[in-house]
Amino acid sequence: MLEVKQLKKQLQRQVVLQDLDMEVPDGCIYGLIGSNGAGKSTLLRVISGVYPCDQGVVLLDGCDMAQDPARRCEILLIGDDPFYFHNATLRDMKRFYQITYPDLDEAYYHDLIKQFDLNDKELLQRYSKGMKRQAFLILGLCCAPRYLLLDEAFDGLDPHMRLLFKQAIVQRLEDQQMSVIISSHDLKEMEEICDRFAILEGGKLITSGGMQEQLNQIHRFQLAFDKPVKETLFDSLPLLSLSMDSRIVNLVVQGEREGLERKLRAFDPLMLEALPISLEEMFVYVMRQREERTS
Amino acid sequence: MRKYPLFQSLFLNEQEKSYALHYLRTNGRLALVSGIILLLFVMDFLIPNPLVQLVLAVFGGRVVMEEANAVMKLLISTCILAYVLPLFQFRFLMKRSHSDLYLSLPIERKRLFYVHYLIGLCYMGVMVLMLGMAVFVMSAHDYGIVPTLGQSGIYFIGYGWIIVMLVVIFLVLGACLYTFFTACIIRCHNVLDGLLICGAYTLLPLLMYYSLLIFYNTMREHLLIASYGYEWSLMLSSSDAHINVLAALTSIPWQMNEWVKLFFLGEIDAQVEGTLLLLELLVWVGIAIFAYRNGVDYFVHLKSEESEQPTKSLFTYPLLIPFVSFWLLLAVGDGTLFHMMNLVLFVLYLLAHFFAQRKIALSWRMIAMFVVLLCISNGLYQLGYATNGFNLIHEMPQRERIQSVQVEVQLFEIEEGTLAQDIKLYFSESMQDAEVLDAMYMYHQQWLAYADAKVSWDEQIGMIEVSYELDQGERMVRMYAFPLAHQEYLKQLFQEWLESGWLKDYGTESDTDTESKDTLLGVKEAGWLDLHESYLFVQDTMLRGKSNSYLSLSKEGLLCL
Repeated sequence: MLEVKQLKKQLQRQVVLQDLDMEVPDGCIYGLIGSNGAGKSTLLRVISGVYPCDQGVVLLDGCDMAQDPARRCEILLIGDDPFYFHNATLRDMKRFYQITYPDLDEAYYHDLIKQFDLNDKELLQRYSKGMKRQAFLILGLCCAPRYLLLDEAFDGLDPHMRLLFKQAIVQRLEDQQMSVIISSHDLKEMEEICDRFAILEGGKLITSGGMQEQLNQIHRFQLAFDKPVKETLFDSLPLLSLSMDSRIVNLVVQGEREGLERKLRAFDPLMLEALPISLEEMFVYVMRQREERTS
Repeated sequence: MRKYPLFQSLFLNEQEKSYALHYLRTNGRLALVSGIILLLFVMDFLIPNPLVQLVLAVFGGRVVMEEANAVMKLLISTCILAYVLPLFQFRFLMKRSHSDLYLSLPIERKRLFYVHYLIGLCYMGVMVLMLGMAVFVMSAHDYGIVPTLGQSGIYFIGYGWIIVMLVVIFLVLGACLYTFFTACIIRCHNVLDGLLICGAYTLLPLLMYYSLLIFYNTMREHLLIASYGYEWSLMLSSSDAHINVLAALTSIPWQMNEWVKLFFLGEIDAQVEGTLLLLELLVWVGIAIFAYRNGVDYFVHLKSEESEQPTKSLFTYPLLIPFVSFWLLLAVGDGTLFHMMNLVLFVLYLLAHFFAQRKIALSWRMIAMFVVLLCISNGLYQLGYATNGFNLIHEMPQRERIQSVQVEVQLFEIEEGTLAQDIKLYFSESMQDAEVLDAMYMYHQQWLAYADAKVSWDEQIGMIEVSYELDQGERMVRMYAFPLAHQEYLKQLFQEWLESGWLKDYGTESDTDTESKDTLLGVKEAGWLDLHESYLFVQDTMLRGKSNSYLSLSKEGLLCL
């Protein structure tokens, strides 16, 4: 298990991560969600050892990574702008990664470049942005580290390629004991692929947990009444959002579904419908709630 | 955590070896091309030799100019390698995506530093050895294997071995320089800063040297009656003024140059210089060890997030800008353009700060620092004036210390109240007799009342240059100009000297066709047959514009080509 404990990181005197605790179990796809500047990329760099922690520790199976850099071979970071050597081909980069990740799966590498139709003898500088992204995702998957960190993983990929890579990641996870930590702004995609997620804001972790568990904690209800109702009627509920149009009420409420439904039926609506909520909506509601609290 | 005992830590493990090999493979072509360029530079096939007058080398009675210049080029190549290689080896720190890749590798940072450091060091070592070998082979080809390897002239070893010794010294000093620059480079967050900061550290000793020289000369001009025409050049070129050897402690390239001079100017028996240089070499090795340890420590705790950001580490701009400013302020001194120059320096100082922080933001701290530096530099001048140049500047040496004295006299011909073109020149031989020294010492004290340091050239009636050889190999030269008003005193003085037989009537300076030859013959007559002395005299003569001829030396004496 990968654990981050009481992490603090400052960049240019600005606190980017503060009091951050996070746990990433083995064999899961973990999504890091947050607005721009929330600290997602910094967190990935700290985990991978690029940035040293100012405070706190990153533990891998209870072992401090700063004290045992050799264990970093169990982690691989594919950054948002991956570096490649001047005049290097994908094959050259594979050789480079092979030095520090000797378990790089050659056969799988050849399968993937065939599947994604990449010429690994061509200079990387001639690749398009999307092709470069594909190339490094392939390298990351072939290295098969215990923890693969993908910063803005699918940035620059077309929808078809995204789908293929998502499938490849899931497949790889099944074949290897591997975890993937992905940071992305595309919450729809994160919802599709991630088992667990964490929302970062202002360098702090706001919410984290299993994707379905968390989504089951927030519910949208649509209610219709026979006569107009007042907002105060719903004050007793843990509301995240409330919109009313005469007799039609839309609610986003936090809590257990059955209990909430019971409470809402007590208001005697003509109609009560529970609608599914997406990760994107949940993120927006959580952020809005936080803003309201702060203000 | 893996522990690396000192001995074991010198070797690379399998992963590090693979990494180093991959690194060499990917950069091999560049290394080969740069190696060939340096080889061509040293071998002198393509580039005209600009250094021909830097080293007038004589070894075993033979002029070994080509070898000396090839060695000078080897010196330059070593310095270029030491300057460029750290930047190349640690360039990954200067780009964020680049440092992300390297620093996320599962290699301990200490080892990552060591591997990159070692690759650069090995490349430099191989290059210096190869270039040295090329110079050696060239010597053997040009002069034959016997004088290169075996007995040659009065020396028991061939000058080829001098090349070998210099190559070893260059290797050690080059490694020190490389280590020092490595410690600088890892503190820089972009390539431009790296180039500028290493460049500044390279040129800093030169700036310090010239600033001190200007400071010292200003002191002397202020404190002494004697005027100084060419002592400046003498100080720069004279290796018997130990200032060069001592100043070499501040700069590795300088020290390398001193080693070349020591070996190639036929001063291999110069115990003092040799010992001093050896001690300085050891000091540099010590500094390099410190720089390495400091570099490792800095690299281990390196904040890679600072790459591509302005460089703010203490040993970079924050230290260099005030330091360089101080030496420039000292050089500006309290001359006539004092205020304007200080203003210019202040503007440059601010511009340097703005460049360093990559933004135009003025702070009181910056201004206060400049004011403090200005106060210190001016304070030093005032203190120097008040303490006879920190007790370093004396009009005359102590009598007990004088071993011998020589005088050179110029007397201008006067016709109807105006200066004529002809200048009478006189030389004395080196006088060592105690009575003569006493007399000359007395004369020196006497003429101080008549000499005038500020008299202009067209108002001079004559000049006396007195050169004392002191104990411990030191030398003191004083030059006095006399105004027209004191021509009677000067004529009387010359008459007394001519009658005593001290002076030899040498000739007139207007006799330009044979001027150089006569000057040199005069030197020969004066008994200055020591090759190094003659070299200095010749160089001095050239600098003073007395000769435009190309001069060289041979064992037999001086030749005018």
